[in-house]
Amino acid sequence: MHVVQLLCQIGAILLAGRLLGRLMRRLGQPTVIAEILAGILLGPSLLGVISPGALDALFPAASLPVLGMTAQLGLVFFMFLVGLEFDPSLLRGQGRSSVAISNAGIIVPFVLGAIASIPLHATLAPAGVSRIAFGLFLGAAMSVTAFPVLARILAERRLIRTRVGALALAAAAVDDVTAWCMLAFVVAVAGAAGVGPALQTTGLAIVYVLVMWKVVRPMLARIGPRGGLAVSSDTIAFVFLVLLASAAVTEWIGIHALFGAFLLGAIIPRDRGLHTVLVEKIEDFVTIVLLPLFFAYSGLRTQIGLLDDPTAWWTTLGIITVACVGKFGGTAAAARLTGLDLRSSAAIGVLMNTRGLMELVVLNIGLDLGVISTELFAMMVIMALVTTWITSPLLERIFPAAKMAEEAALDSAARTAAAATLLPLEPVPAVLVCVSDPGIAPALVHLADAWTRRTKGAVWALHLSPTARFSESMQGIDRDEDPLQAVAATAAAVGLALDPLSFPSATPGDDIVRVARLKRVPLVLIGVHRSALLGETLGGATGIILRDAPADVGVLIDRGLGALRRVGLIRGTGPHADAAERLAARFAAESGVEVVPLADATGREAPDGLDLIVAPFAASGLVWGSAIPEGGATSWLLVYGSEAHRAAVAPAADLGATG
Amino acid sequence: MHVGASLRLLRTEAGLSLKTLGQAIGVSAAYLSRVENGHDPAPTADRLCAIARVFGLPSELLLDLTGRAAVPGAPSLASRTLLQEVARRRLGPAQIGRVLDFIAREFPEGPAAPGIAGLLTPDRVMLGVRVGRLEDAVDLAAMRLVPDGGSEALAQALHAREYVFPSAVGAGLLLPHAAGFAPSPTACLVLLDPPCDAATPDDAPIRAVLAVIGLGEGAPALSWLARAARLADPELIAQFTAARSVSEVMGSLAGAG
Repeated sequence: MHVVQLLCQIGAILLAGRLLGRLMRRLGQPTVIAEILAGILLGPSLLGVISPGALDALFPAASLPVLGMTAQLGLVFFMFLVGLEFDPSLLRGQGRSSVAISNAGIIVPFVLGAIASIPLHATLAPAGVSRIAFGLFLGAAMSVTAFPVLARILAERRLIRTRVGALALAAAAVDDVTAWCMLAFVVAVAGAAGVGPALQTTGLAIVYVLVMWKVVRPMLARIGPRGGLAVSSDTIAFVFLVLLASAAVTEWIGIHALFGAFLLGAIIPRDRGLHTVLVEKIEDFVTIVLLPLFFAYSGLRTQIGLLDDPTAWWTTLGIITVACVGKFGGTAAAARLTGLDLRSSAAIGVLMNTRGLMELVVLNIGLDLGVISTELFAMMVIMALVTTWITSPLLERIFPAAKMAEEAALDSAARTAAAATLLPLEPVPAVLVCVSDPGIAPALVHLADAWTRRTKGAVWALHLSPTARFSESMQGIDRDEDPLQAVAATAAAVGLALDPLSFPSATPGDDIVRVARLKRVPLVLIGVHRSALLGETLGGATGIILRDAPADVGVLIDRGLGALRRVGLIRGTGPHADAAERLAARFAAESGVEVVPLADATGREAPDGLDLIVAPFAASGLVWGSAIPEGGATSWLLVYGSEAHRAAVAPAADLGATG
Repeated sequence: MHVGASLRLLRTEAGLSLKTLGQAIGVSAAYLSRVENGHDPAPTADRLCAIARVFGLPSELLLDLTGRAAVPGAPSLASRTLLQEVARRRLGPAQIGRVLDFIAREFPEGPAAPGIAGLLTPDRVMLGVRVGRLEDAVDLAAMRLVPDGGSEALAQALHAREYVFPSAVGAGLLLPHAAGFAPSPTACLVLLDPPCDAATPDDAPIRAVLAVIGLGEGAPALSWLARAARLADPELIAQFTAARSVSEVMGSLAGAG
């Protein structure tokens, strides 16, 4: 009977959360808001008002302990997941900022909360609670940042890897740890056990952290997958055992089980498969099934009906104001003082003001301890909900998604350049330059330089030698006519760092496609001789690249291109037109070249008899117009978009006459 | 010529800690660590045999590491050890006869075990490859090993393995490897010209990248790795890089066993 009841409860919670989640997504809110709201709606605040009978049937009081325990378990696993997804490498290089932000984010709201507690004590503190305990608790409750909610908002908006996101996350992590320690202290004081036990708790917490770092972490580093990449279920079970032990120890110390779970997740070594496998195995189950149970459990304890007079609502408004002023003001000011620009500082302040789930955790603890009344609990839940609710819209205002995405690209480019093939690669302005003819090589290098100048994306110069060169009869590898030397010379002259790549290949077209796929470049540049364009279509290796490459392809018809100064863009109507525009915009953004829109597909004569060259492609969608009429020959870049490798569209790229 | 690096490669592949292996053969973890890092000379033949037993490998594979019998014709340290044992005991013709009987009974002459050369095909030997970064060479090997899709996953796996424990075994040889990605052991040899600077146990730049996939688990995988590590011989690597044709490389490899 109990099991059926629990299953029905979970089903109802999931259903309500998902339905509300759809609505919230439409409003641009993170899923977490929907889940908190669903909990409140299923509780006495709405369902209890509409139909007390239904509430009693679905969530009878006797069933709450079981639901509460399940929710607690879900929370432990969720914090473990949050720890796993926490990337300590993000902390590097921004230590000063994140520490300053998190300190300000605790001290300011704490002081404001403690001051606010003075007038509230008379009416909202349960009988017998001392002013000090009440003040400390309110201060702690104000200074909480919802690290997991923050992480979810950042993840849903794909901001985790941006600098602002990383800084907020790092600060929130430091903040959380400090807040937990403070809360432990408050719990000890409120429990009337005095200052001594509270200090003891803090001491034990420090010992615990040291043991985890010095003993458990090295141990975990040894149990990663061996040989292959499979992780045995024994290993997973072992990690879960350690997780339960860690959570139990922190609970016993008095700093809450969640802290132990988070810390274990954070110290699991990143460089082995174990980390990835753990995340994969538990993520969905924890975030979709278990976590909403906690929200629902909190919602069941929230009785908004208690706030039945204007004074209560004014008080709630006051609490929200104090919370926002303390957290947003404190962190934004600290961020600004450590040298961030105004926009980023405001974004950090907004992000840190998110309280969501953590506030609920703290409030539940307070309610359990009897430090706050049910009425204050409801007010604070509303405060948590409001501060979380306003985060997304404010963030969008201060720091529009487009701007964030740009920053994300910048950050990831820097990271890729710094280290590693290991990091998940995001599209970066890398380019694969295929050179076969030393004569065209300099022009291709100039293009690659213009493509990557600002963001310093990776450039590979690829040269494929025919396998026949290594035949028995060969007398030695002739490096004299190596096009990579021409590439290196031009690259040195323009100050472009590139990686040479040269190997024998019997199927150059396929191999270029393979390298492009391996290196995940968004653009492949190749040069062709004008004679190659005399046929109806581009054949041979070029044809294979155009058909199969998972990237935009630029085919350069070089006529002595030097440093790129101006790009004339002919917008076609064919399927590759967007790609041409995209490329031209990128060239402009990267190296400040001027993009001159040329006439649309007018069919007018192109200079230098170029029409003769590209004319055959008109049938397949290529268009041209008057190219830039200044002196010097015009080089053309035919652009083939990766979405539509079928027909052709050309932007005429005057590529600034070499003069 | 760096036995330590090869031992570490095999130990990490076997998933053993310095401590576990040390306890198994009765030496300290600190000593093993010094050997692996080249601060102590290579272990004695006895100890190598003990290590081979722990790994489940024929001891000759490990003994060869110290002698680097990869160059055709040169007697391996293992066989030299046998001669020394015979000489030290002053065995007479009769006793030697018994030893020979034992060998004939115990190790009947069968077809030779397939060497590394058997894992390669001419299209998976890349000669005269130039790269700016070592990762690119590993990528190329991945590309040749899994030409039709999936090479990204393989490249990532190889990089991940390299990141955890670099597989440079000295003499300019890098041995990136993976358990899966092929139904049976398959290799690709990428010969770099010019050599590529990298952190290696003996500070020699990388000249050859031998990527082996489909190794599976356990002793067979270790045995392939040990055989691959035997190729870390400066002379052999020099033969490879001087080769002008793929068949020349295959010839040198076949000679090396």
